[in-house]
Amino acid sequence: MLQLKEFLKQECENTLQLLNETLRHAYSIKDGKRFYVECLTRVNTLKKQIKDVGEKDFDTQGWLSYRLSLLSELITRIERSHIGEFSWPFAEYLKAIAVDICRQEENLPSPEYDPLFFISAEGGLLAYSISFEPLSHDMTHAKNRIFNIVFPRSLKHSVLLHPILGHEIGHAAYSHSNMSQRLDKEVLEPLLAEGLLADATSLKRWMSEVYSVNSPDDAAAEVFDDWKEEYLCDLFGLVIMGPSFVSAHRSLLRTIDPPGYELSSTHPPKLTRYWMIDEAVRYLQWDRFAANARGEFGRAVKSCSSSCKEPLRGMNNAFKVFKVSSIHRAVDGLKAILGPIPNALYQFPALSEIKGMATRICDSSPPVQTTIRKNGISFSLENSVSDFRTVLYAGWLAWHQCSVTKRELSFQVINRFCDTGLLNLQALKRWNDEAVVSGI
Amino acid sequence: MMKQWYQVSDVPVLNKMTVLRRLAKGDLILSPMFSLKQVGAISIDLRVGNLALLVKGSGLSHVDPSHYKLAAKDAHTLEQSRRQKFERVEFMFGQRLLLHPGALALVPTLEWIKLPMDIKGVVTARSSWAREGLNIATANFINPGYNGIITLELSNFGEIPIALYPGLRISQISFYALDHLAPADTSKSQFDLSFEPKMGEITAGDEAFIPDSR
Repeated sequence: MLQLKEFLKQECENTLQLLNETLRHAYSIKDGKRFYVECLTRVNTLKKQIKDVGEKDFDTQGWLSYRLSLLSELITRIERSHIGEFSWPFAEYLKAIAVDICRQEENLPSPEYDPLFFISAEGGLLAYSISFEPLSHDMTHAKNRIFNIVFPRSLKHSVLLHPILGHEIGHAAYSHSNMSQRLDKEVLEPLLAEGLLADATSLKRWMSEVYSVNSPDDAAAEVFDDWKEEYLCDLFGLVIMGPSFVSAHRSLLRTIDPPGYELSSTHPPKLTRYWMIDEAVRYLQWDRFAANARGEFGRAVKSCSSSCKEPLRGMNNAFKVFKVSSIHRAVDGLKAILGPIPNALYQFPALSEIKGMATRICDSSPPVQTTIRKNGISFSLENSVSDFRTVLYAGWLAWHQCSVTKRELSFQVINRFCDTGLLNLQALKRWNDEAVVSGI
Repeated sequence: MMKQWYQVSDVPVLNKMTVLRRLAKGDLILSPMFSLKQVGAISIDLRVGNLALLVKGSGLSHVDPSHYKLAAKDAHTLEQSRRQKFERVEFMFGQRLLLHPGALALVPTLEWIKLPMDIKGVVTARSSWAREGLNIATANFINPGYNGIITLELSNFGEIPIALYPGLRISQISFYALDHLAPADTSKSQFDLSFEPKMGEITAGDEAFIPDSR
C-alpha cells in the first residue's frame, strides 16, 4: 500500500503536470498567465504543506488530500475552456460586469486581486451556471478567487438566451460575499414583507392552500431559504441584463416546466417568478415605449410584450405572492446597491437606438453598424458605442418584428447577427482604446 | 420571370466619392469601419476577422471530388469529410494566427458586406502584405446582391511564417458598376448570409464527370 503522505506527494506532481498541460490551449489573452500563476502558487503551497505534515497526522493529511483534489478538479475544468465553444464577445462583457461587482463587494485592494473567470461549455440546456469557491477557500496563499461560467454547448451562438446568466451572477453575489447582508436587508426584507411568502410559516401555509402539500417545519425553512434566493436572483438578473432577461428567462424556463406551476423544493413555481418580473419591468418603465412605438416596430414591441405575458394568462391570483409595492421597494434596494458599480445596472436606451438596431437585423445585417454621413462635399464616419445588452434586446424585438411582418429570418440567424454585433462592439472598444495592433 | 435590365453606369470602377455616397445612402454596406483612412482612391481596406479554418495535419489525405460524390449518399461520411479537413480556431483581439509557408487558412473579414444589385466587388491583397508573401484570394469576385462576411483564402507564399491579428487590414475591396442591373431573380450564392467561412460544394452540377468510385 502507498502511504497517504507519499501518495499526496505523487499527486502534487501529477497535478503540476496537469497544470502544465493546460498550457497547450490559449484561453484568454489577458488571463491565461494569471490562471497559471494562481494555480501554480496553490500547488506549490500544498506541496510544502504536505512535505511538512507529520507522518501520523492523518487529520491534516486528509484535509490536504481534499484540497489537492479540489485543485485538480479546478484545473481540469479550466482545461475544458475553449473559446470556440461559446460566444466569447458575450462572455467578455459578462466577465467585466461580474468582476466589477466582486471588486466592490469584497473590497479588493488592487486589480491584481480581481477574481479570475474562466468560461466553459457543457451539454444540456440547463448547463447555464456560475460556480465559485468560497471567499475563505485557499485565500491564505492565493491572490485570486476563481469562478467558472458555464454555457450550454448547443447554444454557442444563441446570445439572446445568454442574459439568463444575470440570474447566476446574482447567486455568485449573494453567496459568500459581503453583499449578501445588504441584499438581505435592502432587497429581500422589503420583497417578502406583507406577502404570502413572508417567512417559512407563511410559505408552508401557502403550499398547503395552493398545492395541498404539507411539509415539516424544518423542510419548509430550507425551501424558504432556497426560494427567496431564487426570487432575489431573478430581480438581480433583470436589473443587470435589461429587458432581454425577461425573454431569455421565460424561453428557457418553459423548456423545463411549460405550464409554470410545478412545485420544487429548490425553485419557486415559475408563474410566481414571471409575475414578479413583469411587475418589476412595469416599475422600471421598460414597457413605457410600447405605447409610443408605431408601425412594424410598434407591432414588434407589442408582440414581444404579449408573448412574455402568455404564460400568465388565466393565472390564479394565488401565484401573486408579493405585494406590488414590495416588488417596487425591492427593485429600489437593488438599484441602490448596484448603482455605484460601473455599468452594473442596465440603462434603457433611446427608442431610436433600439429601433435602428432591430430594423437593421430585420434587413439582414448586423445591428451595430458604422454610419457614413455626407456633409456638403465631405463625409464623416460615426460609430456609436452601444450597450451590449441593448443589442440583445434589439435582437428579441427583431425576432418579433420578423414574425409580425412574415420575414423569413430564423431565430438562429438573428442570434448570429447579434453575436456579430457584440463582436463589432468589442472591435470598436479595442479601436477606441487605441490598442489594436493595426497601424492606422 | 426575367426582370427588365437597364444601363446604370458607364463607369466600371467606383471611385472614393461614389463609394462614400453609396455607403451614406445605405444601399451599400461595409461595416464596421473605424476610420475614413480605410477608404482609398478606388478601394476600401478589409480587416482580418476572429476565426480561421486551418487545414488539419491529421485530416484528409487529399481532395478528391469523387469522395464528395460518394459521401453525398451518406450523411456521416459527408459531414466527417468536411469536419476532418479543417480545424476551426477562434481567436480574440490581440491573439495571433500564425500562417506557415505553404499553409492555407480560410479567414472571414471583420466587415459585413452588403452589395446592391448594380455593384460587384473584387477582393485583392493589400500590396504591402503581398510583399510579405501573403496571398489573399484566388476566388475574388463578390456577386451583386451578396450579403455576408467575405472569406479570405489566405496562403503564405513566403519562406517564413506570418503572424496575423484580428483587426489587421490585409486586403481591400474595389467596387465595379455593372452595365446593367443584375436581375432580381438572380439565384443567391451558396455563401450568401455567411457569418464565417464554410466549405463549398465542389461537385454540385458536375456529377456526370466524376466517377462513382476509385
